[in-house]
Amino acid sequence: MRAHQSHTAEFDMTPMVDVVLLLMIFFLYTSQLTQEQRSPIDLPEQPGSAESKDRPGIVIVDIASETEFFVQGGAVSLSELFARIDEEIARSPDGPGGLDLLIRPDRGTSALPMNDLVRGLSERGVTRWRVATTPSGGVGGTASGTGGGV
Amino acid sequence: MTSLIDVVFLLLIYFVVTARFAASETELASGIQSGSASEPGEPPVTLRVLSRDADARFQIGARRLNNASALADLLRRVASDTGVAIEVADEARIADAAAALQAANDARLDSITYVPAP
Repeated sequence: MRAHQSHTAEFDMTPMVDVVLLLMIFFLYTSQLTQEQRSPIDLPEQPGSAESKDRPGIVIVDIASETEFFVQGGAVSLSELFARIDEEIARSPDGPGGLDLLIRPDRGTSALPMNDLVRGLSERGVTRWRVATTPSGGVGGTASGTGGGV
Repeated sequence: MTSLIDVVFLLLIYFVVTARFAASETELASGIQSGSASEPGEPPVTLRVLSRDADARFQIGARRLNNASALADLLRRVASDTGVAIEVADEARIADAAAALQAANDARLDSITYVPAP
């Protein structure tokens, strides 16, 4: 007579736990990489020439409308903006030439605020700037974020 | 082990729900005409970005263009050691100014300078 053998079905949880941990690491990593400092703005739709990354010392200016400039999430007037840029230039070891300036204009505005900004930068001897674009036509930045930092 | 898996699952659900993938951002670099720099003369090519009320969006010399891809084609035929000054009218669209910067970047011109229209 055969001995009665009881078989209990068991799931092997190890591969699932591995996958879950990998997913966890992925989400932790990508949540760090999202550009939290950048506010949502309808950037001009262009492929651009390089991916926009946050660099140390970068000055990000959002242009939300003809009269609205944002720095570090706070609205500033054009004169306040220039005062902050002057501070950055004074802090920069390379002077105005070393200023790393990124402009994030709303695609619906006219060029007037950008031109006003350039006129002031030109007077201060700033020679380079970058304009943010979006290749997808979506909204740049994240909803939870604020404007970039001077 | 079970409680650990529970916690890990909860964390995973949290990150999946709160993950917000930002639209990728790119950038276009250009120069700014310095007020103190003495310019010996006009740059060889002046690309004008016209007012939104104008009958065209761009102008190079006497040629007026309405199409960004036609502008890019035209700039590609310019010698790569040539500089371009992009003169943008105050009433122009930001989108058109960005299109002009993109076309100049794509043409790999020697220098690209953003100039507000006088």
